[in-house]
Amino acid sequence: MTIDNQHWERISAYLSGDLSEADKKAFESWLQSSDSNRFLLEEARKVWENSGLKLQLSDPATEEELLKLQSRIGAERHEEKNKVVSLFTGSTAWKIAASIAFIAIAVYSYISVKRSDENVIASGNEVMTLYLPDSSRVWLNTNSRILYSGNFTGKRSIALEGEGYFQVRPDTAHPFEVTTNATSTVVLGTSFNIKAEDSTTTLTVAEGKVHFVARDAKADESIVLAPREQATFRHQQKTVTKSRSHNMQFAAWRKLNNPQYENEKRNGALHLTTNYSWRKNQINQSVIEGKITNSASLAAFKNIVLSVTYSQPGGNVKTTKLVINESVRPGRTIDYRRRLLDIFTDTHTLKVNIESAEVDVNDNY
Amino acid sequence: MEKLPQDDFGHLFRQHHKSLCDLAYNIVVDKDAAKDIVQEVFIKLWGNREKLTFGDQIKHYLFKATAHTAYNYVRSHKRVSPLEDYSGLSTLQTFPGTERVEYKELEIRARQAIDKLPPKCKAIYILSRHEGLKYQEIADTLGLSIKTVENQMGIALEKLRNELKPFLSPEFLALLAAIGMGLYALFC
Repeated sequence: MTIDNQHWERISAYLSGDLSEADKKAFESWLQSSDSNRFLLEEARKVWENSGLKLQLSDPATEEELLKLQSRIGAERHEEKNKVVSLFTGSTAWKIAASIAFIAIAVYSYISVKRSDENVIASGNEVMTLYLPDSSRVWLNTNSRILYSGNFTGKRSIALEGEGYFQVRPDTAHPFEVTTNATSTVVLGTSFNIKAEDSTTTLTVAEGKVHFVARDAKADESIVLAPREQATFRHQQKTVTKSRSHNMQFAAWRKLNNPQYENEKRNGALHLTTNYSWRKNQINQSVIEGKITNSASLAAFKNIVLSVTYSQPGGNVKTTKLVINESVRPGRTIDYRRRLLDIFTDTHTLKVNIESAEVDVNDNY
Repeated sequence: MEKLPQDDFGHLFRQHHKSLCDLAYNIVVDKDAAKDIVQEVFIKLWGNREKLTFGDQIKHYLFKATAHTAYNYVRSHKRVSPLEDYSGLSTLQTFPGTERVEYKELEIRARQAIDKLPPKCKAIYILSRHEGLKYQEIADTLGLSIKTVENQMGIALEKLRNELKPFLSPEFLALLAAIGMGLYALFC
């Protein structure tokens, strides 16, 4: 079933601009392989292009709805409103005071409007996991801040204070730039860690290539770093040194004081999904072939318990458990293949659910 | 990081109400339900006003919350209305005040076909096609895995294409052309 749908998945991903680099090749060779495939794409394109019609509410009755909302919000708001009214019905002194307050509010709101183009996100004493408007993912270490302006449509540029791990969504047309007080890092689509401290700024690359520029370095050079390479800029000496990182320890902070990771650890089964197909083999065993996908941000899972429910024509339902020992890393998918001992059963429906999973604490992704 | 000032609440509501209603309406295809969904979203926003931080993010928050609530609604209310009862199309053609009155037949058929999709499929397809969301954003908005989104998008497109097949094939266009030419010959 999944096999048949695969090309539809690719076509829709292609049309919506969500086809990953990895799938692009497969899609192209599928297209090349026959005229009827190309014809299918043309039909799909026609459907896609003509399915953008949006329905509109002719009368949203906004004011009526607002009144309804306000009455639901209730007494709290009414009280506040009454206070403001009584201010204005009071003595002249009150009126003057009120006018001053008014001007203060006006000035404040002018400033905040001016500033509203800037987005500041700061972590407190917990690690924060968030998405930027371009779907890039950021982990923000404790007591760190990021700042970016607008909705990120033109330039993908972001300022960092403290430490952050960036998983950048590939977009070759829009380079992604992270600036700190002393450095600038430009990438197209990779994962890397930046730690900006008072005297040093350290960049470590997890995946892909990264351009790193120290703003006041003696030799004004841009270094290109490959995975597991690390560049340290010393602010005082104005020197950049390159070294190798032998493990992922530089990114391990993301699992400390991280409420999202704690949640993932507790609810393994919620972050795992499975797709599968099944058939009877020559000796009448049910063979299940499937994939398990881990949608967690940081937790890897192992010893995944699948509960398989299958039924006979008579309506007898049986449940059995299978364990997949292999570890699934966050964001990844693994394949599995298992046989049931149902030789004497004429199985006609079969359902696989993920029952539980253990966190793989040895995974240092 | 600004907290939401109380006086701005009405302003915020007026500013976004119509577009959020339209978003919900496209998913639930029920006017009153769409308005109620947006009410729920703002009630929740009011309840959380101390906890949330606002800036440009608020529009994003409202959008996400509306899409999610609408999705939950269609999932729990199985629509029983058959195609004959379909009101969205007549709304399209009759409501006043839109610049565009004539839609291509294929566009209207496609809209009808979208409404026949299963709820999950439909919500995902609308967020991708109408709202231009990336798969990861759809997954986050609806609380689904990205694999499900990929999968459902494939299913949606396949179903739409099968439904619209008669209007896509060159044979059909050729037939129309032939009829047209026949009529032309008849009257000239």
